[in-house]
Amino acid sequence: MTYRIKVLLSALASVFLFIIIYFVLPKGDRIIINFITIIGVILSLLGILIAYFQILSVKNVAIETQNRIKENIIQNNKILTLSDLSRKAAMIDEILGYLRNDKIDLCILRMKDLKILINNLKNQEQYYSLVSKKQFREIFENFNIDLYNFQTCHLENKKKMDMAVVIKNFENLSTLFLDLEIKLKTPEL
Amino acid sequence: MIPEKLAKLIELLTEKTKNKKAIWSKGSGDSQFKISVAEGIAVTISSWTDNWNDHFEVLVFNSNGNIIQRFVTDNNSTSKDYQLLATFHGVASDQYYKVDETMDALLSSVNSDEVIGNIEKLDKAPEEDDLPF
Repeated sequence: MTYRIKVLLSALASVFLFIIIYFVLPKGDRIIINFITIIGVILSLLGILIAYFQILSVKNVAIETQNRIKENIIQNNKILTLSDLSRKAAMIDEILGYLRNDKIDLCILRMKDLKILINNLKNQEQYYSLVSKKQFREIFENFNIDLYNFQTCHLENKKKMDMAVVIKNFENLSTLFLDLEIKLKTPEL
Repeated sequence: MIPEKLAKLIELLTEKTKNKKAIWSKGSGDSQFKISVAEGIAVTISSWTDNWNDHFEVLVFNSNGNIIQRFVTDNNSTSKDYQLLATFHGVASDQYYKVDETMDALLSSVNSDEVIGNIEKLDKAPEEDDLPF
């Protein structure tokens, strides 16, 4: 029921109340001063009622505004995440490029940047409905092991790495990002 | 000296792997194996050889991907620590490559009366394919 209808109904109810009081009053008491008093009381009650309706209306507007703000924040986060995901996928291509050119220093630097982004993504529980938590956990674990292996292999120069496993892990990570991006763009799928 | 809790974890994991109740996967190190233990926690065991010296390294990653425990042993370490990690690496490797299952299948195949091996078929080149010179 809208605010206007509520006020209109209250005004009608006041008129009915006045008519009822008029007929209930003994004939001797139907004098102008009594009528003025009754009308005053009814108008006061009507005023209180209208003020109450107005407060309720303001409260509803506030709740609605809050909901809209929440919706907008979610929408903005979605857009930001989408652009973030595209950036992550591009970073993986960049890392693979460094690997092909044997630039392990740059590869480690980029992997560290990517680790921060993946950690942020891992802490956003809203995406767990889109990707399997187990799959995400496994890919994240492999990524961290790869990063550690790159660092130690580069520093100690004694250990060797299985590049087939590294590339497979990066491919899995890239697939996960693309999968998430597609699901965010088309939530009905 | 290996930390007490880490030694206990390795012993338990070795036992669990021997009982075929732990599934290992390949890590990106040359001879590295990984197992996910709990929520986002992973344990790896790897080995490498350097100047005729065998090294074994065990790592424990927490759920944020940081290393919380690291222990490296080589031929110069105490025999107990070296043996513990060598056995751990051995059982993880055997589980990953399914050594037991493969050996069992081989033994049962060799023990049976069936003929094993294939006759090699040499492809004879047809005469028309001979070179004209």
